[in-house]
Amino acid sequence: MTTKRMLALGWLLTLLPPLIIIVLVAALGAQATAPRIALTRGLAFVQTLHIPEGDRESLVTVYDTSVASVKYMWRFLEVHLAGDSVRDTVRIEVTTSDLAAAPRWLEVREPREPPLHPGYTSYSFSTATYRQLATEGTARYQIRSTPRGKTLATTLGAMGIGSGQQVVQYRGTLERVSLAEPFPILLNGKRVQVPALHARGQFKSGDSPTPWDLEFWVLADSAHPLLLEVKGSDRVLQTVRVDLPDKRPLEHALMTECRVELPGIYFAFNSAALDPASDGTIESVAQVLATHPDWNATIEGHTDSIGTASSNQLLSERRAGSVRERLVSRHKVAAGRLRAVGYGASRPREPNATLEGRARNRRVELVRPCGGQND
Amino acid sequence: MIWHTAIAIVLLPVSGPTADTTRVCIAPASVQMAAGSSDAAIDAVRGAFTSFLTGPSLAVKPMSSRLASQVREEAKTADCPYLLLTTFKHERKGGHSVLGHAASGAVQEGAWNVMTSTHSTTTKVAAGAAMSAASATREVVSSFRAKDELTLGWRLEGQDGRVLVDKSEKRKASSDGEDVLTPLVEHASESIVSVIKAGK
Repeated sequence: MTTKRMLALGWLLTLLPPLIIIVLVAALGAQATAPRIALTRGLAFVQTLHIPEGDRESLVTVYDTSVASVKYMWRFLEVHLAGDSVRDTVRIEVTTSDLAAAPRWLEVREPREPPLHPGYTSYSFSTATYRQLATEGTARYQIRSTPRGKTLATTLGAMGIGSGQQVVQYRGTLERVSLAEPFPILLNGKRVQVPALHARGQFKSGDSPTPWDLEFWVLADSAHPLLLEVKGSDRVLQTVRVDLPDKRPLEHALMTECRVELPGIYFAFNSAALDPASDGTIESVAQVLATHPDWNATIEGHTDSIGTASSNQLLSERRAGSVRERLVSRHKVAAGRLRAVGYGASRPREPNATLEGRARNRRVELVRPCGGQND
Repeated sequence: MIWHTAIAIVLLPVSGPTADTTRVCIAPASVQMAAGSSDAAIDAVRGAFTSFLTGPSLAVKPMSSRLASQVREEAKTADCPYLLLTTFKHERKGGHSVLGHAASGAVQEGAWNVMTSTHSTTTKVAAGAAMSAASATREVVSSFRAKDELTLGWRLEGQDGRVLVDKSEKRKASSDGEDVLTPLVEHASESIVSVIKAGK
């Protein structure tokens, strides 16, 4: 080896460790500035799914956590272009050991399957998979799903022989595309960007004739690498809204800005019926109003632009009315302190052109009179 | 002959509530659907209860308010001694795909329900008017699949707000399209009539 080459190698060996440290610090730095979305009881997120047949909106709530497992409640409504719809509530349980180490994703749940499916995660990568991608750049991964393309089972099913249902195991390697891409979400009612690890992979199964190309964006947080987006050739699943169980900002926002968009208020589709997942937020509002007995408040209902102006107006009024009714009847807030108004689709926060924008525009706001600041 | 028929029509007693008729106000059902249209379910529940609770001494008056507090006020205005509040929950224990792949067992319904996706009030009103109670029931039960569960809840309140009966019952469909709603409503109506009779 020549002296020049030895010098170059020496420089490389000297520079490499600091270079690695700089990259790691940059990654960790991105993680440190990201708002924490801890996997705790009361966490809720809204996911939208675009498929060729239509759209789906899902509300996932973490309704229980223990040292052994995390329990999710998945409610969704899928509306198809053909005019039909699918609605369901599914309970899902993932063990903490799978959250830590499972290199598999349960994309499909079979009919009457129990909530717990050991060996898989459902709404996140495992910490081990995330770390492997972050440090090594690749990770072996499996997905339990349905076959792409026609198989013998689906062909027979179409002929009326058997159920036509088949679940297969896809195997492949995830490759990191980038470590911390900015990813927009609505966090507790505010538009923020969180860092997302972007990975992609091609997955194959002996039972499926067509390979499956998928891209993933997960929260750049090894403690909870939440699935933010999964993109296939003809479908996109996206987490558009996350509501943290900590409602302390509610009081602060009402005090300083006199107006707050209530995170964690959910209604049944095209209805004013409150979802039980809204209970926590409504209780928080009641607590704030109890702390400040001199505060009166207006509950504002807002909708997206789908439907007629009159039906949206009515829906927004009924939704605001439902929240008021719950505060009065269940939490004994004096009816005279609360006013419910609806604005229909007249005050959008974002363009209604996208599913995410529409999700943003469907909201309930709480306003307290502060001398004209809240208009 | 034509003359006689005309006289017969004129002499027929006018149907409708008489002084001895007990009026039951019925609120729109609170509905949770696994598949299909909530509007059809509301119509079906109201229609089925109306058919079972209508007779020589009973009449049903449908309410339009959706909020419990509002419907109670509406019932008072309508001078109903009884208010019937109902819930309808259709559950399906199906499999589902996070990325929306149909073959997983996620249920694909027929395209009979255009109301859910249109959001159009005009469409809903027009469709609602055209839909008889029987056709609403047929429409709802056509979306039932074997092993689907239907839970019907009923709560009868007196004019003073006192709860006179508060029950729920569950039935599982043994085959696709089985009408599990009508027998549940029939059973519920029997319990309601017995409470009303006891109170007289």
